[in-house]
Amino acid sequence: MTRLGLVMLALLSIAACTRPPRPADMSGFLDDYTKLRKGPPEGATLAYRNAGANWAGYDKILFEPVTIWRSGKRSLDEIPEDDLQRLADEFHIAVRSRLEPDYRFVDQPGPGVMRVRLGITAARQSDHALDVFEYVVPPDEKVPGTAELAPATRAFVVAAAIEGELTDAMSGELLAAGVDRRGERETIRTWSDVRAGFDRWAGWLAGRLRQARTGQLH
Amino acid sequence: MRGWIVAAALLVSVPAVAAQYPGWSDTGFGYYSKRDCCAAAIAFAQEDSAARCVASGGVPRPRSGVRRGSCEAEWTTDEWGRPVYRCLSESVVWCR
Repeated sequence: MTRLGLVMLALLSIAACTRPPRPADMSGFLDDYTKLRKGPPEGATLAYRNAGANWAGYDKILFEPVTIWRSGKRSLDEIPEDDLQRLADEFHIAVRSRLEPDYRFVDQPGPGVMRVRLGITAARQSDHALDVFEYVVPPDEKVPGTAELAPATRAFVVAAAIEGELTDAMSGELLAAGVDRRGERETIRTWSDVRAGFDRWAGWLAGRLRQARTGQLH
Repeated sequence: MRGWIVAAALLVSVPAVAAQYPGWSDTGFGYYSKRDCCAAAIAFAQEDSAARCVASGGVPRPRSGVRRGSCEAEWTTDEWGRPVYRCLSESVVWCR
């Protein structure tokens, strides 16, 4: 390859890292994808953080029900409803247990409250119809033991992304958003793999928030 | 004979078998968030399904904490160029 070719390749790589994702390729779960950029290697694939946010001012979380989105009308019908419920359940519990040491969970907006919205999505804006499942996890929900994932459940989990946004619960100002669609999900086979994946993601989120609150995130 | 009458009476008084009455909704253009638009459309469609259940003499039995349904979103832009969504949904709640 010529030197000019190498330079062009390098420029294209940089452009690919810095340009926003194509909205049509995203699910539409987040309100605005144009602010997302390539995220840190250990974190979300695409991420945005509001540089002006006063992270130390938030000590409470309003956690909305985890939502599952898949392109196509009735596309979630092939996944057992108990599995959909369990997916939402596992994700909710992983995030809540990781954030609980640092935040009080509340059910109303107010000063110092951050709204957390999370979705498990396998959808594209350009697809006309969506199938949506939303589950409000009861506080005393017990997560069942380990078992192999049903084939339809596994196919969904492997293809899905985690999307989320944090906003000021009073003003609605966007504090952070991200889309995580890393390829390591191919290795997921059991519910304990799912649980471990959610827990890893929740641990990363809790760590980033702790760093942001203490001013260590640059 | 009396036994047959009792048995027939019992059969007649058995609650209706669980049935499903799909509900539909159309939010109109009014949401800046597709997520909120779909959530509202599905909630309205579930209400419609429950109303159809009641109209047929049943009792709606939505699964606690669960909200599910389809969502077809259209969008246009407002005068400032922001996308505004309209969502159509179909949903079903259990009816007994």
